[in-house]
Amino acid sequence: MAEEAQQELTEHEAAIYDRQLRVWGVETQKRLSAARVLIAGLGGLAAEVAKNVVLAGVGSVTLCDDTPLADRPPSNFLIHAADAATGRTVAEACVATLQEMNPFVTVSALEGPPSAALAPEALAACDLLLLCGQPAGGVAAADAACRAAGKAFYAGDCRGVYGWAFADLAEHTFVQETKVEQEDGSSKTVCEERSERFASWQDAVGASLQGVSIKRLSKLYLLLRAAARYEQQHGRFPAAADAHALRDAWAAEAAAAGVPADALPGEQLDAYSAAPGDMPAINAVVGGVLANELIKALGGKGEPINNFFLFSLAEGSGMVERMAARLSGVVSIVFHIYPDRRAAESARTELGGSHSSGGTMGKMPIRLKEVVYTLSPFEQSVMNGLWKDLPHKAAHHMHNLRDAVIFCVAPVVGIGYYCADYKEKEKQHHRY
Amino acid sequence: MELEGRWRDLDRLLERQGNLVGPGFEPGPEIREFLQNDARVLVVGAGGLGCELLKDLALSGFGNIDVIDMDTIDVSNLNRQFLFRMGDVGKSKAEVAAARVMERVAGVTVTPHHCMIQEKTLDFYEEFHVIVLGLDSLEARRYMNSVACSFLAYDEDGQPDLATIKPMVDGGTEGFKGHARVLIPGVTPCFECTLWLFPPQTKFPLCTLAETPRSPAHCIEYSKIILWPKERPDDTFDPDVEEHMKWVFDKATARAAEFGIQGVTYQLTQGVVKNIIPAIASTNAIVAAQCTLEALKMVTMCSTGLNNYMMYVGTDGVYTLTTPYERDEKCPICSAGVGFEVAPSSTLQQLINGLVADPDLGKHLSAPSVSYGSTNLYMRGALESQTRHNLEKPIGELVDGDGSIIHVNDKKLVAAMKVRLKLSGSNGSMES
Repeated sequence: MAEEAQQELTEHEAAIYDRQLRVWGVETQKRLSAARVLIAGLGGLAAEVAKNVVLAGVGSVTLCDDTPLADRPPSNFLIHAADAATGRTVAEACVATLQEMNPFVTVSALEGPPSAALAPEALAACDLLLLCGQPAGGVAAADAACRAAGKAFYAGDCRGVYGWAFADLAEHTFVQETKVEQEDGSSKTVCEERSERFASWQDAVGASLQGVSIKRLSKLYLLLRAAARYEQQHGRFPAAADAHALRDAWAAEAAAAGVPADALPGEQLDAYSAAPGDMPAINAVVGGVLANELIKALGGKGEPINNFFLFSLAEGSGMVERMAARLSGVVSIVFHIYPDRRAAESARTELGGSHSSGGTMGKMPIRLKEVVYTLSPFEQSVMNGLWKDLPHKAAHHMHNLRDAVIFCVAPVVGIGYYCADYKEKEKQHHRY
Repeated sequence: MELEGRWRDLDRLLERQGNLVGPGFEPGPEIREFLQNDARVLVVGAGGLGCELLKDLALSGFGNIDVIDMDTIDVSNLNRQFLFRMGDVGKSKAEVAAARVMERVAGVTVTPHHCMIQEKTLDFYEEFHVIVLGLDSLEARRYMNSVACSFLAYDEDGQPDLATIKPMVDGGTEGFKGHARVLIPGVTPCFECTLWLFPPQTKFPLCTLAETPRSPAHCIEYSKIILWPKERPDDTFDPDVEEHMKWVFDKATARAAEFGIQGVTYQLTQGVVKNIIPAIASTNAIVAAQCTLEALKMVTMCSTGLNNYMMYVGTDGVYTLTTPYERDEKCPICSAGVGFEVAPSSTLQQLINGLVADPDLGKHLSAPSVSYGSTNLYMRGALESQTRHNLEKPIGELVDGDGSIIHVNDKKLVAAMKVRLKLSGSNGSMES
């Protein structure tokens, strides 16, 4: 953010936000209060995320879903049964409840179906778009629109016993704080600035899986790929009658990805197409994780999930997968580690005031290593890395070893030379 | 005015077989009927976790929910306890939460209890099929644990009697971290079995506070526990009185200045004195949802249950780990009774002395009372003179032979300790 929301928190805000200020601090709270969130597609999952980010105190939340209240999703608890009588839409009914939950947030409705959120004016007026409960074609279009507009993009859906969330923050820079133990037993906080590149939705669901261990891969990810292929072809979610077509879509997808078709059992595919309805508790789990991710992305602090969170009732736990296309989606992480504590501390006080854009911040970052990940370890060229930056690395090692050289190596070498020289002189002396 | 397809997600789970169902699962519509009409669940606590639990349980199909909480609503609750509004500050949490949930979810009955958990009788707790805990202190959890375990009875083979098992689900959160666990007395470890899981409470050594403070917390603790009784011996410290808190803050600031310590703020003073736990809405949502899923699975057996402790960390990415902790066979609270060998000719007084002297059991005892079934053998307090005569009687006459279980009660114990007597042949031998 170029210009900071520099207004201090009012006493009232500080009283209400007290418990969360103790978690993420005043700076993050200020950043959140300047953030504008757009949420399209208001089922149970979106209701959970909306509740959590409104309570967290973002600047504004705009809701986009013109479903009439008579057809409202039962799991959206933000909608009062009494609202059903009015002629309003789902978005309008949710606005009222959310506004009550936190008067400090500006909550409003955007007219039109969820796709209206992709209009250029709508995207320009937000910092982040969350798209919930839409088929894969809609997710792909929304991701592309956000990338073009330079906005953060999140998507998610819950159906049956599954729930998933996806993140695309393009290039994201954030601060990571770690506590470092000191000699006197207290601990100091060290700030690291890191950058991460995210893959687009198309790359993430189109990645080749050659050489990837299928056993450890989440089945839900494979299911999503099958469903995405079906949904892009047909423009809608598969229903129970489409079970056969979904199986065909999986067969084609498996072939394209380079995995055996039996990696995904047929019953799981059938369950996906026959599973209408979402479970409130799963909405709450995925909604809670999504909200935390939005808070991290908007606050610029803490490592966000890159790029899938996949939850299934059968396993009772969530899995994080990083999926990127082999050729184009090379993920690189660059570390900026400050040369000493003093530099880190002065950098830290600078950090407190301004949101850095990944630059040098007036200090010399030492690029110690650049780590390049691809999906297959055999793709990595190791030897190039050895020669790269050789003069710089040599100078760095020499600088570190300077004291050792002076006080340990030089005396030993010097004594060695002296003895050899003495022996030689003795030898000469005895000869003549 | 039921929404069409409102219970589709549940019916999908409860009316079909599957390969992940729990033992003894018989699919059919009776399960949902039982869940909505007859099952009774108790939510202990209507705070951060409690609000989320009530919402999730009601939306998930539980028809009869009770909630108990002795607290009233405070401004600082509003950042996460979304059932409460600014205008509700000062009212009973349980009552407002119950009313709000019943407004929003058609068909559910939520009964509030605005009182302390200790004020309810065992008969009250016995009526529930599952008890879900949303508590914020170790003592309260230990109390509920002792209540649930007190129902547990063992048969002659030393196996838990299934009909007496009162299952509990416990959740806890702090910032971005949390846990959800399942407690089935006699099967999974109870709280006492795994008391070592809880981190030691931060207690500063008195010498540090008095002579060598290093952190702002030291200065605050010093002002509260050393300076206050010295300078204001006639006032009882009350953290809710602003003048008391400000006094501690001023003294702490002065002391910090004396020792050159930075960081004493009013906010930190409040945090240290009131032991404030930092909390956000999204983590509460995740943990409460996990607890709800476990409660749902327990009552319907629709899937295998969590075994038995899940930890969640969301600070960097998402990390969860589920660990199957094991029971402590000698647990004084949930086991079939700690074995204790005693000669049948030893007197009750000698038995009591032996228990107190025992290295394992003695640390729970200071002045124990002993009962056998419904008979009071020796009771301190009001019945002391009536039961004193039993002290000289041989223990062999007071119980029904080898394997009899006596209940030992003591001020230091939260609930009765079960001791299984092994009546040995030889005279006067006591084994610990």
